[in-house]
Amino acid sequence: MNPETSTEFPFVPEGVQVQSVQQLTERVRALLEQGFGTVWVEGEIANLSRPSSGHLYFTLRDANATLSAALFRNATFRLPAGFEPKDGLEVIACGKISVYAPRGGYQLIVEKMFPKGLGAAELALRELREKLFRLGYFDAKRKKPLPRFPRTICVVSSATGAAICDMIEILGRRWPVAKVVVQPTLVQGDGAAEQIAKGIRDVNRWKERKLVHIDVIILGRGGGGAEDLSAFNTEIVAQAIYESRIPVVSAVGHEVDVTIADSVADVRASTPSHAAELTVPDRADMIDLLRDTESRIHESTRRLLLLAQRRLDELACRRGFQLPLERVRDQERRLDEIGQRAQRAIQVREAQNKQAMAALAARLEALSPLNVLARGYSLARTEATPELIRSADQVQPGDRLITTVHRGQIVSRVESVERPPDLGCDPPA
Amino acid sequence: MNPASKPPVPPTFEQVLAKLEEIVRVLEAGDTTLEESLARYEEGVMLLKCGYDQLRLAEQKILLLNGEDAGGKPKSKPFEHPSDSERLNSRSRPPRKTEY
Repeated sequence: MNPETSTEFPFVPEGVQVQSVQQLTERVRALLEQGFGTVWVEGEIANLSRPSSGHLYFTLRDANATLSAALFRNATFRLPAGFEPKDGLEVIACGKISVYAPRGGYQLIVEKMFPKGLGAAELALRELREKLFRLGYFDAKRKKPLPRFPRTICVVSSATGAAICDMIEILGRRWPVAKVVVQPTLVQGDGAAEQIAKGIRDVNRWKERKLVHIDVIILGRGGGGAEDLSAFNTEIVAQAIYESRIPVVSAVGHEVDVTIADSVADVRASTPSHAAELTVPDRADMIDLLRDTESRIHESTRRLLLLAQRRLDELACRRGFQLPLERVRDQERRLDEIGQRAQRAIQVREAQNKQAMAALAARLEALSPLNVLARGYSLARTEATPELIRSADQVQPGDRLITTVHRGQIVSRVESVERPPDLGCDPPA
Repeated sequence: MNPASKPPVPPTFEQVLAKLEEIVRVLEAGDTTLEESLARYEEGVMLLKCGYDQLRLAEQKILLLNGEDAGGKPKSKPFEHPSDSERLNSRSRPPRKTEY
């Protein structure tokens, strides 16, 4: 350590200073740190270890070289959202070259690191996802429950393509009770995001104004193989879903590729068909449920009736009920007897009445003018008046007379009229 | 309800089911009068028929929304998707109902 010490070792050339390891290492450190400053380096992660301190230690390597690297805990928080360093991953790291004295090795102290395979768009998406997460868009607490029996389902999707057909088919098969309303939108390309957001907002606005009745929205894509789902990864669509008062089922992403729309939606379905299944009950299940209810209602009512019947029977058998019953039967018998007597009395009275009637009829018969006619009298009247002729004054020669005799009528004409002697009371003719 | 109002709206399937559940509960508890139980039973039978009818007679209605008119009301028209015409050709089924 001391320059003088060199003289103690004859093999050390004159004027050369022997340094301690630490001294040398410090010089190397200074040289490296000043000589390189901040560097950007790309390579593959290997031998990654995550001790409990939260720091990450790994090696960056390519085909011909390796570089030790450390990523301290505070720097891990600056990693892009969703980026998990792991072995085999190609990354671009930014940091300073330094020396780790205890090991005597130089290393890269990583300040920023990005996965190399990721494009700028994907990074932006991760940032958006991070932002929406902070805003509570993905919060399970704010997710709305789906109605058990939706009456109207609005499908916000491309009106053409396989997805909409699948959904309508399944909705119709499972629950034709519900009406399906299709809100057609572009699902990819320019303006798709805006149209999707507007579609959701329009339906909500109409519902608020009570112009439509919609219980649930299914947000669907076009269907088919390689699709551009970027419209469903936009803030404008996320916001429309977040603000929708109507529950939204999303059927956008694939099993492996969850879009932001899927994460914000109240329920996420893995495919459009799955969304249709989650949204409506199955008619067959409901018929089973009704059948079950039916048999339970029948069975319980039958049991209640049997129970009531048995209780009645038991009561009826008690002696307390038997005695009054006998009394009632006695009364009934008396009633029957009275009834029969009344019947007989009525019959007698009727016979008496009939006799009285016959007597009256005979007397009437005797007074009838028809009987007088039978004795040879007749009744005459002119044809013109119904009045009976009592005086010769009532007729003129030439009048036609109708004379009623005992049997039939005689029509005759007056030849002459002979008046009774004038009593001097008539005015002169 | 005043007499001038519309005829009573049939209950939704959800309401039918809720009422049936209540009726089953009451009948199975068996703690009401016999008259009350029989009245419930009768109501239950009617509700069951109503429920079955809704499920058996239901025919899917599909509409395509078509923007809104000057008054801000949504416009709609019948929705036809390709599988409809295929079905029509292959099985000559009547077209779906599309009234909103």
